[in-house]
Amino acid sequence: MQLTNRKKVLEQKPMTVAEKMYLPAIFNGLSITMRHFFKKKPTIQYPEQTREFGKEFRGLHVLRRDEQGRERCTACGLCAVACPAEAITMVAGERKKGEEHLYREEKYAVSYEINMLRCIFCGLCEEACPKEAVFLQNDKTVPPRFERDEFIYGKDRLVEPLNQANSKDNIKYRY
Amino acid sequence: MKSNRVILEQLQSRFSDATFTEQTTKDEIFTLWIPLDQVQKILRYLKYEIQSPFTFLYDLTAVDERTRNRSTNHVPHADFTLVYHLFSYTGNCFIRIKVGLFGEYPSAPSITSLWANANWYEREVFDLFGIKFEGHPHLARILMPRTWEGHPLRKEHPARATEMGPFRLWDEKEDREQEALLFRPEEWGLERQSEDSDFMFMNIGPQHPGTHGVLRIILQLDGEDIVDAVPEIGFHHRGAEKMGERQSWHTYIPYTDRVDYLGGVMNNLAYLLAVEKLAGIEVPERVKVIRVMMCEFFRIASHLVWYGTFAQDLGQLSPVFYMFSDREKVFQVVEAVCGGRMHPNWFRIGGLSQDLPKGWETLVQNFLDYFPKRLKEYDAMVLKNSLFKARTKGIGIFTLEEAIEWGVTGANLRACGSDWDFRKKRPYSGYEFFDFDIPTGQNGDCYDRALVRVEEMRQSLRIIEQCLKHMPEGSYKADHPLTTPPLKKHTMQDIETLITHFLNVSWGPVIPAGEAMSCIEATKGANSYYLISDGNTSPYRARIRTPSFPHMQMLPYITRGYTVADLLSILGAMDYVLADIDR
Ligand code: SF4
Ligand code: SF4
Repeated sequence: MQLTNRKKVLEQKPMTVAEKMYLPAIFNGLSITMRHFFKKKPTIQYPEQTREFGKEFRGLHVLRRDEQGRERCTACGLCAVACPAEAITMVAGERKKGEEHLYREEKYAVSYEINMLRCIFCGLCEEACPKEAVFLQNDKTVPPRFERDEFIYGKDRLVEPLNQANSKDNIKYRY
Repeated sequence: MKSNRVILEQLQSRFSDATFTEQTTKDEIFTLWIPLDQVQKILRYLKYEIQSPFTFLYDLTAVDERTRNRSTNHVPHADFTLVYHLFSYTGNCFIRIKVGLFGEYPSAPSITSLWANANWYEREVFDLFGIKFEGHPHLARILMPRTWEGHPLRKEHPARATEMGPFRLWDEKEDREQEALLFRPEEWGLERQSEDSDFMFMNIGPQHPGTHGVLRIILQLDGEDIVDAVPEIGFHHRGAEKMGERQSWHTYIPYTDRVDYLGGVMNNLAYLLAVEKLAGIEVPERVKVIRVMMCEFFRIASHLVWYGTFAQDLGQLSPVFYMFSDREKVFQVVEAVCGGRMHPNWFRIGGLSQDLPKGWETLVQNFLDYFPKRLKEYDAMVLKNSLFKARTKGIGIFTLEEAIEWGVTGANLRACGSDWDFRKKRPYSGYEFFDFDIPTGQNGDCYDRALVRVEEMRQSLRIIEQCLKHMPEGSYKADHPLTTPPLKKHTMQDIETLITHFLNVSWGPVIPAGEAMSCIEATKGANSYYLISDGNTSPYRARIRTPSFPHMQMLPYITRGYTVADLLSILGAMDYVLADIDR
């Protein structure tokens, strides 16, 4: 019977005598469980093994550099105001003469901190950034630690290393 | 459907001495202000006497109006407003009744004698606003701790911990808190003994695997039989509604993810439908279909969690593992599309955050090929198992009338024989274009609730398949000035668009003044966001109506007379999430 777009009444039959003996039910259940013993195990032995993340996965943040290895962030603060968890703080500074190879814009972030305990990895900072500076990487997560202050990521851990500047193909323009 | 005019005329002819003030709202729900002294009479009339009566108290809440910007909105003046949302199943329409209250701590007549589910709603309003209800049988705090000072949803109450000074627990305070925690059965309306026996009191929870979250149920037992059960909720209360008043319209989206945390994007949808009504945004077809597809994936994920844990509650230990690994398969799709798993934060005002990724068709198709086989195996393992049947058939029965009286929605309602599904009856987001059946039960017991949900997963697969086959082309964002964030190609081109971007991100969009309510068929029942804007960058009031709240309220009523073991079947079959109850 093909039902479409209609109410579908689900039937309930009274239990038969055989069913009321319960023992077959136990064996049936056990046999299904036993069959699963010999199937491929879905368990991942974390942390030795890690799961493949999807391409869009929103993981640990990175502050990107431009083609010439200069920091892209201009400390405009948009990511901080867009952040629903208020996880981002920064201090802006004026670029001095001779620092043009370090910072792309005249204003830059002297310090930039993300509190990973507050962060909910929603990606709104990335969406807000006008300079395409902050990104959530799809291959890294925040590793577990023991101390609270170890979760406050400063520029030392956020800015991408010089030699990797722009080399990452996992970063794409999400929005 | 009956027109609003007719309702108003009927009311006016019946209550000729009362003044009714109509208010226009963005969601076209008929909104009527009625005088305080006739609340009970008018509501009684609406429930029992009017043609196609409003038998269902959908929601009851309040609004603190004292700081509302009135220049933008023509509403009668009041300090507080009580808002009753009633629903008529026969007329398929909502009505919104508002009552203005005056004074700092006003009071209003209780309607607990009219609707059984008004009890908790009124307690909630009392707890969060300090509005008293005369004639309420047990007007005590429900979400906040008993020792809490102030009423959080009043505008003068701080919204952040940092505005309240550091937390200190000095000795005296500790004693006070301890004192408040002492268990006195009388305070919960429980007798210590009956004529011939002393009752035993037992706590299930707040930490108990059978409660699926932080929920405490105080059981009054006579031997193994439940004399009464009192759920204590509020442990999971995070003030989601209060946060709505301080977040911008845009940055509130991630908070909605966490209301029914098994429902993921379904929460985004309920919220955004209300925002889009307020803003007057019509989203493109493609957005609608993608939204429906992801919602159905989450329905399957949520039902799988329910299925596994339900079986586990009844003593079957293996299904939950298999089902969780299948849920992982759903999450693979979700993660590939949304970038997040349980909290995808993926829908946006006027669209989606991104378009579907390349290769999504294969992912979805793989899941469609894979999952039906598994459902079959689960049928053999769980639904056909006679032990499972013995523990669920005939347990926790309620009738359709009782269900409506207590405000039950979703699969629990459909297990009683009603085919009420908001996706079908009041289609939203393009559900009218999809072909699917509404599974219903007959007996309203735990087993039927299980049957209905399992069948719903199959129907969800059908919907997903149709999405896959007929995905329309087009943009993933609406072309509307309030779409947030706008398509990137429209922003940051020159200084003008850059400034727009700055304003858009820092303040967020300004949603025009008005009121709107959405109503969707979420994983657990009817979920609504009732949003009020006074033309600002954040909601003036964000009310979340969740299905689990009234379901949990019904627990004492359906457990009396059963045994403790049955209680776990009833809890398991109810399918609630504590975050959904407490918000
Ligand atoms: S990361 Fe982007 S949004 Fe944040 S301060 Fe830097 S430039 Fe501005
Ligand atoms: S991902 Fe979200 S929560 Fe985390 S820093 Fe960015 S905006 Fe804030």
